[in-house]
Amino acid sequence: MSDPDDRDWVQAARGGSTAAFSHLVRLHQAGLIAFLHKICVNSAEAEDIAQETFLFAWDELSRFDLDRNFRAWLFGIAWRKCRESRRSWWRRLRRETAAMEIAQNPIRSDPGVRLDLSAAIDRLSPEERASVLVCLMAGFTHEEAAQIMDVTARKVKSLVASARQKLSEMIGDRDDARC
Amino acid sequence: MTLDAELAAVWNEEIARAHNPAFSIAVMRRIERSLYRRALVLSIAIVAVATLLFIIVAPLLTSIWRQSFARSLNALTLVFLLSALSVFLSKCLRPLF
Repeated sequence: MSDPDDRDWVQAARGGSTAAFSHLVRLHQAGLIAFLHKICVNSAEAEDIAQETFLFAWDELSRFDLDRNFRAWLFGIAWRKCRESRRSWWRRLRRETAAMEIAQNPIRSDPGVRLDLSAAIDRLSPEERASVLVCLMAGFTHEEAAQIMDVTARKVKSLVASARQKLSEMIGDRDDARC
Repeated sequence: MTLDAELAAVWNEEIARAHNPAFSIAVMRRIERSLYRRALVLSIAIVAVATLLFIIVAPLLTSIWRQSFARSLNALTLVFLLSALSVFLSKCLRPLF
């Protein structure tokens, strides 16, 4: 469900108000960029896709269903743009270079050494990482996450469970609370 | 500290790191540029269509003008009418772009 506050700003932006859309950008940019920072290879690519996401949202605002969550809609656009960017050969080259750097610096497996959780998240598959980010970090429901990632809610639950297990293995056992 | 609490802490760090006041300015600049480009294309299209129409109907208008209105209206009135028509057309066509 769309935030009532968002709904008013979206309606104003639909009427052509750039000031209203600017407010929406300021409201959601940090969350969106944080999400993209963890999904993309580097911050330049993340900010590039975040800008493209807002430009696309501006162009397609008339098609947005006001009963939906505007923030979830933005995350969905960003996720699709990320997937499209993976097909770009230049971005793929940069990603592969970054992956090689990670492979050259493997996770330390010494028992008792607490691994950085942020680095552990980076080692999950893109789908698992996205499911952790939207469900466990950004606070979306499984249904919203399913819409964002364009998969079923059941698939999201499975991805979250698998990501949880991998994270627990990478950073050491935790007294986990279930999602 | 539970995994969920640690994930929340990482998310808060990422949010703080992602805060960039210049970002919204950059986005709005791109949107304004895009709006300007569209308005420019719309204006050029309207002028082109109006010119073409005028070329097509000019002989007819000239004959009508000579036969009926030439005595009662002057050239300035005609310019005013054509300008009003252009403004009216641009207002009507704007929502389409």
